[in-house]
Amino acid sequence: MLGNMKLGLIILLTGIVVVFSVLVLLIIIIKVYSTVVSNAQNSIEAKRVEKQAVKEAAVQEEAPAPVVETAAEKEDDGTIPGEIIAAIAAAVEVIFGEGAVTVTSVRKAKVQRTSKRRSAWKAAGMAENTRAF
Amino acid sequence: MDFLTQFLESILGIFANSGFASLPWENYIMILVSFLLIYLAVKKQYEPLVLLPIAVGMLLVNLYPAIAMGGQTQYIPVAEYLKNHPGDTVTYARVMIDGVECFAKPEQVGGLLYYLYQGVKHGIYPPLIFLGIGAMTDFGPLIANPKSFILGAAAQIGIFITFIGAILLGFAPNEAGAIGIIGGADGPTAIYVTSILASGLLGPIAVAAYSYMALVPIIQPPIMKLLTTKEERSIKMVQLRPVSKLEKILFPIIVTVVVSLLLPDAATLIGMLMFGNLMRESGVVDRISKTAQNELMNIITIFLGLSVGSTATGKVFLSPKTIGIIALGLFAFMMGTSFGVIFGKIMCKATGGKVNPLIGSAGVSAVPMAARVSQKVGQEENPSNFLLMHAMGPNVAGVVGSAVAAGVLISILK
Repeated sequence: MLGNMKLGLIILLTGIVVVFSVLVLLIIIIKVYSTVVSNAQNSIEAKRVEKQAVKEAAVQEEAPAPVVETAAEKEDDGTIPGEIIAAIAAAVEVIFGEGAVTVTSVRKAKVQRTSKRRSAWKAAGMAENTRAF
Repeated sequence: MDFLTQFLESILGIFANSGFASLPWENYIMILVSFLLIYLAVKKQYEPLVLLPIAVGMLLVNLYPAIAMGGQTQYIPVAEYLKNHPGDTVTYARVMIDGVECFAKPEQVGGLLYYLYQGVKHGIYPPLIFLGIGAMTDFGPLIANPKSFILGAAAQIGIFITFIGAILLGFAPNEAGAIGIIGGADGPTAIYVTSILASGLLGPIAVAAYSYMALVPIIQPPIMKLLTTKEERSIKMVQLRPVSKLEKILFPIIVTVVVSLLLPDAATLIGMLMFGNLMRESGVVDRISKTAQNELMNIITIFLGLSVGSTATGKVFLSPKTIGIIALGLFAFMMGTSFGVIFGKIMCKATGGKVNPLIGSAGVSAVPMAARVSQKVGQEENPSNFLLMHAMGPNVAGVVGSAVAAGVLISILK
């Protein structure tokens, strides 16, 4: 019994010391990696925001030009080809009448993408069911 | 007349083989206990997912003990067999017994619950349950507030104090370790440790562990109220910071590496728990993550419950040892809750009143019941107080803590 009591006390102390040590070690590790991860993520985010701001400023600085004369050459922010701008300007002239309006700038509209996009299978199913007959 | 005698003999034969004639009185008491557990599971809904299979396993084994008995094999020396059966082309397995080659002739196959029990005996089911728990658990609150680990560790002190209590009551050290782990309030861990340290006590320890887990809402609140003041219970805690996906993915990997290197005996439980969590957080294996959370978890729960229940036979269960185990289990559970709350109070003082000590009781790892109890007791004092997410931190820390405590007990007592 005395031997078992001695073992009991050893286990009590060992158990408390080991359990606390392991879990305190985990606290330290989690603190450290959380800080590292959040710092890294913050710096990436800051760089992204900075890049975005520079890009927006560049777009705003670009002077609007009358499209009628320069539509074919103008590239807007560089992502819309000149032919497309010319086609848009021509379509506007056809609708509103020659010389009635002047297209000063063209920009891409933001497309709202929802997280619930249809999968290929769903899209195929939808096309199958809504196909004109 | 001869016909009548034979008819009576066959009726008497059936009666002689029936349970009424062959079952000892202890089995009838256990049948009543199983009825009580079925009542608690069905009517009171105390952990019914676990309690119902345990109760039915208990009922079946006490009605028909052979359902949990292993198969019987007859060993016949090969030479003797061939001499008695000349020309017989046998296909029995050959084994060497005392230098004599024998045929292992199966006489009788084992019962269903005997085979299901092999998953408990060889420590297979508890780690698989941990896999499911890991896949269901969000460690976000713990990562957001890692100090919760302190409360998860504090609640494990009850395990080691109960170990001494069990030694004082005359239990052998390995049995005392298995009894102490009830204080971790973690059924799979209790079963895992007991199957390694004292498999003979599996029935009473599993029943005690799951019963106390079911009774968390009754056992914990009086202790929590006794150890805290009204002001402490009313403390509102600030909202936890959001945790990024990368942090959540790194957590299971880091915990697995650290704990397995420090305590290899805890690697199985922690490894499975964290594997389940990595599947959940990575988001790339949705299908198997859902299987671990649902189908696998449910199947293992049925097997585990039935086989644990089948160990509670009358002769094993109705002994003074069982009464001691039930009493010590309750003591362990109360000590775990108390130390969790006491350390919660210490953290409250250390942080200048920013921590509500009630979340300390959730350090026992009955997930999520213990956290719900913290929330409920806190809201009784202050209806606008929401402690649930804060209590989930110590609660999941308790799961890790009890697995670490299990590793300590196994490494010393195995």
